Amino acid sequence: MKIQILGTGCAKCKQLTENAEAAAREMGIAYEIEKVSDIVEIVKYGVMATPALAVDGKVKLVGKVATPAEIRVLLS
Amino acid sequence: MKITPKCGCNGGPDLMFCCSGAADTAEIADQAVRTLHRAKEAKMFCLAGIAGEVELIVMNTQAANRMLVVDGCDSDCAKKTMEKNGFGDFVHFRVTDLGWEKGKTPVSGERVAEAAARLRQLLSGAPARADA
Repeated sequence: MKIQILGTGCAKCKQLTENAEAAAREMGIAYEIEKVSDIVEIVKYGVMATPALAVDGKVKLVGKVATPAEIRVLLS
Repeated sequence: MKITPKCGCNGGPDLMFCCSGAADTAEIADQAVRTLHRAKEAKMFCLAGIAGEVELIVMNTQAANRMLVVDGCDSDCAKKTMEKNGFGDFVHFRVTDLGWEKGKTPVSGERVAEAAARLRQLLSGAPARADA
C-alpha cells in the first residue's frame, strides 16, 4: 500500500506523516510513505487544502491532521 | 481556473456555492459569485458536487475556511442542498433580499455589481469555520 502525504512540508504535514506511519505500523500492513511536496503534483490530485492524504493515488483526507485512529479507518 | 492548494496551517480556502438556478435573480446570484471568483476573492465551488456527494468535492468543502452560500430566491435551494449534506456553518444570502423580485428583475451589469459588493461584504465579515 502506498500512502501519499500531500503538503509543502509544514508542521501539520509532518504530523500527518507521523500519524500515518503510526497507523500503518499498528495495522501491521506493508506500506510505503511517499511525500508529495511539489505544488504542481499536489494540484493534480484535486485537493484545495493541505495537508492531504491519499492511498494508492486516491485522496482520502483533505486539509486536516487526522489521528492515527482516524487514519486506520482510511487505510482499512 | 487553476486551483492552488492552500496550506492547512493557515486555514483552507474560502468557498462560495450558488443555486445558479433558472430565474433572473438566480442568474444575478451566479454572475455575482463568478465576479468574486474571477477576482480570486473566494472560490466558486460546485453545488452539484455536494448534491451528488462527489467525494473529493465534499472533502475539499469540509476543509473550507469560510463558506458563502447564495440563493436567487427564497426557495433557498442552495442552502437546503448544503444542509442536507451536513454543512451548516456558512453565511447565507438571498439576492431577493436586495429588494428585487424574482421574475421581474432583468440581469444587468449594475445589478450584478451590486450583488457582488454585498457578497464581498458578507465574506469579509464571515467567521472562520470551527473545523477548518
